[in-house]
Amino acid sequence: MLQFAKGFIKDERGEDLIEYGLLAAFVAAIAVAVIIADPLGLMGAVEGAYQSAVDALNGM
Amino acid sequence: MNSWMTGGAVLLCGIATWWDLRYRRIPNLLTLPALGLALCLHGATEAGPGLLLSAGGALAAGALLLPGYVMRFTGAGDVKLLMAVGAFLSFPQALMAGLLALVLGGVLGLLTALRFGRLGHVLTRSFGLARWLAHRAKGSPLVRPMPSGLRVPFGVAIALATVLIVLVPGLGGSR
Repeated sequence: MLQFAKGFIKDERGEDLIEYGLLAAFVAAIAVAVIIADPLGLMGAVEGAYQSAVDALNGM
Repeated sequence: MNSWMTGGAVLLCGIATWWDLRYRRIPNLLTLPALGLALCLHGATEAGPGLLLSAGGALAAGALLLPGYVMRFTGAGDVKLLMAVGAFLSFPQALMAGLLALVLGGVLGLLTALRFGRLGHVLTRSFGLARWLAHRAKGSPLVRPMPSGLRVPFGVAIALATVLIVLVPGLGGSR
C-alpha cells in the first residue's frame, strides 16, 4: 500500500491509453445520461442526502 | 461555487493543459499545491461544510480515474489534476466534471485515432480490452491485450470539462 502511494505521488504522467479512454468514455456517457435523464429519481435522492449533510454540518 | 473557485479551477486547467500538451506530464508542483489551496479556500470561505464538500469533490473525481491508474492505463498526473479540479469545484460539480472529462477524453481518443488513420485498429483493441476486463472481473485468466500505443493528453479533456461545468448553468448539479 505504501509502495502504491509512493508510486502514485511520484508519477506525473499526463496521458491516457486510447483504448481504455474509449471504454471509460462509454461507461461515463451512460452515467451522464442517467444523471441528466434521471429515470430512477437518483438526483433527488443525492440532493436530499447532500442537503441533509449540509444541514447536519451547519447544526454542529 | 464562487468566482475564486471557478477562476482557480480554470487557471489550473489552463496551465496543466499547456504542460500536458508540451511535455505529456502534469507536474506535482502544480497539482498538489492547487489541491491544498482549494481545500484551504473552501475551508476559509465556507468553513467545515465547504472543506468537507471540497474534499468529497476531490475524492469523488479522483475515484473515477483511479481504476485506470491502478491498471496502468492512466497517468497519475491526470488523477491528481482531476482531484485538484474536484477540490476547487466541490461536490457534486466535481463528479460531473470527472464524468464529462472521461467522455471528452474518449472523443479526443477517437479524433487522435482518426488523425493517425488507425480508428479500426483502436476500436478492435478496445473491444479486446473490454473482453479482457470482463474476464478479469470473473476471475478467469486471459492474456492482457497489447495496446496500440496511442495515447492522449487527458489534461486537455479535464480542462474542457471544467470549462463546460463553469460556463453551462445547471450542468454540474445544483448547490
